[in-house]
Amino acid sequence: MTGIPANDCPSHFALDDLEHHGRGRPEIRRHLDGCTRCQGRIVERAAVLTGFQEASAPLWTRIAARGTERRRRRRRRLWFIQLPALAVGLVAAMLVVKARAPSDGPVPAPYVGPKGRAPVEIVCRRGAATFVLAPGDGVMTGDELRFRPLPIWPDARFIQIGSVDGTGRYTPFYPPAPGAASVALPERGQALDGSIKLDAAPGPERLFVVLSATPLSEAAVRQAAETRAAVGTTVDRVDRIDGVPASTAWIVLPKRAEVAPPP
Amino acid sequence: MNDAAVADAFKTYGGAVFRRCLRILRDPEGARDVTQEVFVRCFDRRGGLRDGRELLGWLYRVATNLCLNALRDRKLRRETDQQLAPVLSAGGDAPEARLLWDLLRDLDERTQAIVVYVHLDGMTHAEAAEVAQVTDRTVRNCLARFQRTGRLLLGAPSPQEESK
Repeated sequence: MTGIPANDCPSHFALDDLEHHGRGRPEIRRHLDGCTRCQGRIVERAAVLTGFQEASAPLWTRIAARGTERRRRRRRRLWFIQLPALAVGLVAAMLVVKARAPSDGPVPAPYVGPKGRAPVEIVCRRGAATFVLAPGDGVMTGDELRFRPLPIWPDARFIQIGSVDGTGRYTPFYPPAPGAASVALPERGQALDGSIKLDAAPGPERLFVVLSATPLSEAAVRQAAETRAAVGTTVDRVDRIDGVPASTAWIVLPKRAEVAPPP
Repeated sequence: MNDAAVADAFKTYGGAVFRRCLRILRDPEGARDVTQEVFVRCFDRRGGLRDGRELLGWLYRVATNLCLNALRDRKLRRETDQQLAPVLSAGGDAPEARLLWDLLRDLDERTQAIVVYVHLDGMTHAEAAEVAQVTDRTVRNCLARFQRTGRLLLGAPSPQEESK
């Protein structure tokens, strides 16, 4: 099989294209008609093809068998690759969900309350009387206040309460001492331990209530309260204190100088 | 392409692929083996292949690469056989195929294929570029590289050296 075309003869690729797709420039056809060398090549090509066709049936059987087998193996390999990847993905998703869930202590049932409700109920003891403070009720020097948290933020786990009085001074209630951290919320419906006795500082008492998912330092809450009180902000909001998401609320209690009888 | 289309492609182009392999390997048995492998790969890639001139080009390209691999493997096997049993390995491959491999062995695979397209198949540069899926410029560069290597093999001076 000489096969190698002369410079002006069409290539085997061009001949195959012509043979199978009926395409080809007219000059190729003219060349083939007039070139004895190419006519010899065409005869030779036809002879090779005849020899091949005799053996092509068993060859195709082998090709089909190998092709099917390779496809089956590839599917099996894909399955073996995908299954561990799926398992790894599932474990990773579970770890992410677990990591995002708060892990400190038992998770209380979420609190849901009406929009705009104060996050704490304040119980006032004045002399022998004990009553719940309603919005707009005033407080007086010597009143003892107890706080029953009613958080409506489901992520809330900790609370801080303090008060900015008429002089702009912040006094921490819970935690009771500077330098401590937020206290854990009590069981639902329970009041925070102890009570707060109001001193003679001028009013109004602006109570700053901070709920958070993780404990906050008293210093950070004090700074936030004093900064906001200084510019007159008493808007409830959810924002960040010391980089921690927190829900803040203000409860403004007018303070009267004279002692009034309980309602 | 689906399975039936691959079977049709074998009926249509099987002979052309076999002829193409025989032209390079000069060995009917080896050419049949490579033809078989070409269509097994066609089975693997059937989803991305389209019938027509494009498929013919793809078959040429795969057949050429597999034939060049076969020549390389034979060369290695021959060298090993000669080390193990010099007398038994005296016969073997067609001398034309050996000569072809001796000319190509120091070139990279793409250049080897382009040299085969142009010098063995007689393709134009445009056809070689189409089958190899490269630009005409790459075809010219590969052929120039082949010429330089050939000169080195023959110990002939380069045109620049001649002009000095």
